[in-house]
Amino acid sequence: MTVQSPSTTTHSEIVSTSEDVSKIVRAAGDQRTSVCIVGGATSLDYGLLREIPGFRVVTTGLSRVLDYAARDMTITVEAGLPLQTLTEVLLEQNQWLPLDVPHPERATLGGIVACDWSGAFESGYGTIRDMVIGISAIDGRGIRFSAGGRVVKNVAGYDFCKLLTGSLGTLGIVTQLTLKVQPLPSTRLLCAVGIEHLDQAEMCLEQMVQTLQQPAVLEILSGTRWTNREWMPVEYRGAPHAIVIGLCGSLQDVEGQQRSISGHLDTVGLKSREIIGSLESSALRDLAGGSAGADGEMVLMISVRPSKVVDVLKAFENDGVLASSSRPSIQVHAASGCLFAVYDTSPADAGWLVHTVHPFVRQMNGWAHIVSGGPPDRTLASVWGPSPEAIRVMESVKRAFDPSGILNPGKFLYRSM
Amino acid sequence: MIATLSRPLLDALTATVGANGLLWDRGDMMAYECDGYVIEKHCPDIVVFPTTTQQVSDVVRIACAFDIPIVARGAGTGLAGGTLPVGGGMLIVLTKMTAIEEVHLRDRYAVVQAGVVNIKLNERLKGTGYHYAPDPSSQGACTIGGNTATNSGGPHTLKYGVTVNHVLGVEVVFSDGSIVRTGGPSRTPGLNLTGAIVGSEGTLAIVTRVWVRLTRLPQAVRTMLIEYGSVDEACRTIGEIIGAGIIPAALELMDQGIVRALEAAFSFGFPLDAAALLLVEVDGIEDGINQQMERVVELATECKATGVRHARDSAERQKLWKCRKLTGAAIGRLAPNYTTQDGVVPRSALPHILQYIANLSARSGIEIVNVAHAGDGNIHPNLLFDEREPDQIERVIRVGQEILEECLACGGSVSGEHGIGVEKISLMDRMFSADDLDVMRRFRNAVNPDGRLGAGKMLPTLAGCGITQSHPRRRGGL
Repeated sequence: MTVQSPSTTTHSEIVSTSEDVSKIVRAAGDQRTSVCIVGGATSLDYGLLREIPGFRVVTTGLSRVLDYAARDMTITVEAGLPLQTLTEVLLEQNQWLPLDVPHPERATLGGIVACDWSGAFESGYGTIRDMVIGISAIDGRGIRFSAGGRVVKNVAGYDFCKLLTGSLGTLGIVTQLTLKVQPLPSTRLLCAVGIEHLDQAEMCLEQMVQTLQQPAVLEILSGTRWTNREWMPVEYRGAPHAIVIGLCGSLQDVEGQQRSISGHLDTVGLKSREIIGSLESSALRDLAGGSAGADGEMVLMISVRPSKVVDVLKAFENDGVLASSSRPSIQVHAASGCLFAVYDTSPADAGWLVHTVHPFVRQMNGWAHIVSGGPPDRTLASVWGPSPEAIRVMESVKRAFDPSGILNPGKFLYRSM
Repeated sequence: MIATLSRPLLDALTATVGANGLLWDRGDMMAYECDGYVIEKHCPDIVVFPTTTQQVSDVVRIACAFDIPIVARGAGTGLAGGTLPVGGGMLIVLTKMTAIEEVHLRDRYAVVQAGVVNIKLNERLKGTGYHYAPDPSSQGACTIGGNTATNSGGPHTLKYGVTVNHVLGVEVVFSDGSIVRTGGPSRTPGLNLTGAIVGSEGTLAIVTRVWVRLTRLPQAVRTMLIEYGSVDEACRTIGEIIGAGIIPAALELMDQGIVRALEAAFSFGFPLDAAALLLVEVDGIEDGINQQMERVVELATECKATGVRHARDSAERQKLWKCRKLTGAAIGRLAPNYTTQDGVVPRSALPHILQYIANLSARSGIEIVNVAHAGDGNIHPNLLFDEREPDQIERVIRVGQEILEECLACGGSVSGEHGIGVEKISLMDRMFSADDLDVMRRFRNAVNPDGRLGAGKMLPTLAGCGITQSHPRRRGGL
């Protein structure tokens, strides 16, 4: 069935129950038109197309905390709850969800799950995929379904928590989530390591493999837009790159880890400096926002094996394969191999992406896609690159959840959906 | 059931896996008529042992051509009948695919064939400072492919997570024989099929290769065994530890029945009047570890623990863990047969469910001894019986169901790590609504459209098909 855009109007509704969502989806199905999902409107241009006319479901009315079992370290919330509100609720019980995403005061949990946002803390705490233990959603037929549960260990049924994470709302509109939370670490410490050239970055990362514990945060920051931040230690300001290491735990754990890291860095001639005092929170805020672009900017996400991140960074340099007239500032989650390259302006056309970026990244067995912005003539190939091996199965799954193809049509990498 | 094993079928399979890669004589196949769920037995029509992914693909295509249902199996340690060839068909056993193909410490992952025994991977990683964290109690025999199929847990999941948190990607063979890789060591675009295939119990695809995450070994470990005069006091300690913001690496509960069985079997020197034992392990950095351990002991004392044994060195640690990991062997001395249940409740509901089980045991006349991954709320009541007494089998099945229904009433789950298999299909419509199950069926049909893989597992069949799904009763046997 072809989804139509009968007019340029969009019928927008702020929903407050899952029944509201279901009604809208059924109406859209009856009228053969689209449903676009909006949470906090922080990632609307993630994917191929911006919103097209039809129905718009705004989930910010689904914002209740339904059940908080602090002693069980689980919390069940409606999907429209902003991350910052959740953070405040958890803080009262000395707990947290180790996520940092752009615009946490607006970014909803449902949107975070749909986009698979995680942030700098994924080095030590994993990604949002590891934190969702229960999910409820409305599928493309308007049917409400649930999977997982409210207990941290559960293998009954298919794991739709994992399947829906990162699906960009194309399988279902998430209405409720149960999350596994963590005790708030008593001590958090950020350090910076000044890097003059990228070979030093690789030396630093190799040493981190041998330290006592995986650091909670391990970021490479490339470009003076990063190294000139006011929280960067003075001696590293203006350097081409810097590494930020975050440690969390008890005071003894953090001190022990810090000594271990200093020892390892010494062996390769590098030094770390603490990012001190109240500036720490602005540093974390900046790191959280690093994957978001402002209007007109393009954010390109590249994912490679961690041992390849420095090779990718080198490719952005003056004579590298990915060099362009507009040099991006880059934030790298070094432990997972995810890079976010933020360009001041989008390229004029998609050709560079299709013919240079994607082939280069693929030959490193990695993947690239546009997170926001991008050339005006965005296509599936330019935004998402070549189709993954399992595309046929993915499309079959999409048809199972959304037979009429009305949920966020054209947004994801399915061919002709 | 395959009506006859035709010559063309046998020739095609022999050409693919060789004569040594097949079993079809009933006597030879008896070892494959059940897995760890011994209450139910079904003999396959043929057992095939491929050694490569291509062979798996070719065998699946042959099964398609001859319209034969397939069940995939690893070491057969599963406890829910997930590898039971209900109605016969072809069993594809992956235990000959045992290569650890790649280890990348810098990128923290390894690539293994599905038949690699869990513990073998950690033996390979010895000395590197890294390990593969999921450690089910059967790790000496179970395969990583099987762990992937059931999303296995183990004692260390409280801190380190379950199998799905450690699987980065899989290579699978689908029901049409196509070979596809999903996921991998870097984030891949598209739907997270890897996460959905983990725990799908062979009903979506046959896992042939797994990309697994490697985790840094902790610098320091402290293990202690804490004795209690009551189960309630042990459970209260668990809540206090978690409430204090400590996440132990392991938190295992054993009740008095287990204590007595262990003493009778192995003479560890436990007090026979101990109502419960808690095996607690904390790990992390040396600088902070003693403070963690001391806090745990402090909390246990506040909860009226009657004794604490600390492992002073690695050998003593191994001994304490031995007492936990040998519970199965110890239980085997208590009765001719036993079955291990697997349910989950919120951690805070542990005292209630353990008391419920005690009451149920008294009422039913079925003796039950309990171990639990207490930090996760994952209980393993062990129901003792004699299979020569049909009445006992009926009571065991009923009692097992009641325990799981009570887990659901507490807001928990009918399975924490063993899977649904055939054992718990009848409970799926208690845990999930009709719409939930319908969406799961639609998803399964999208990935496994001819239903060839893992038929009769995990999801109840629709009543409208005229097939009622009741709890499996024992069939076959000697």
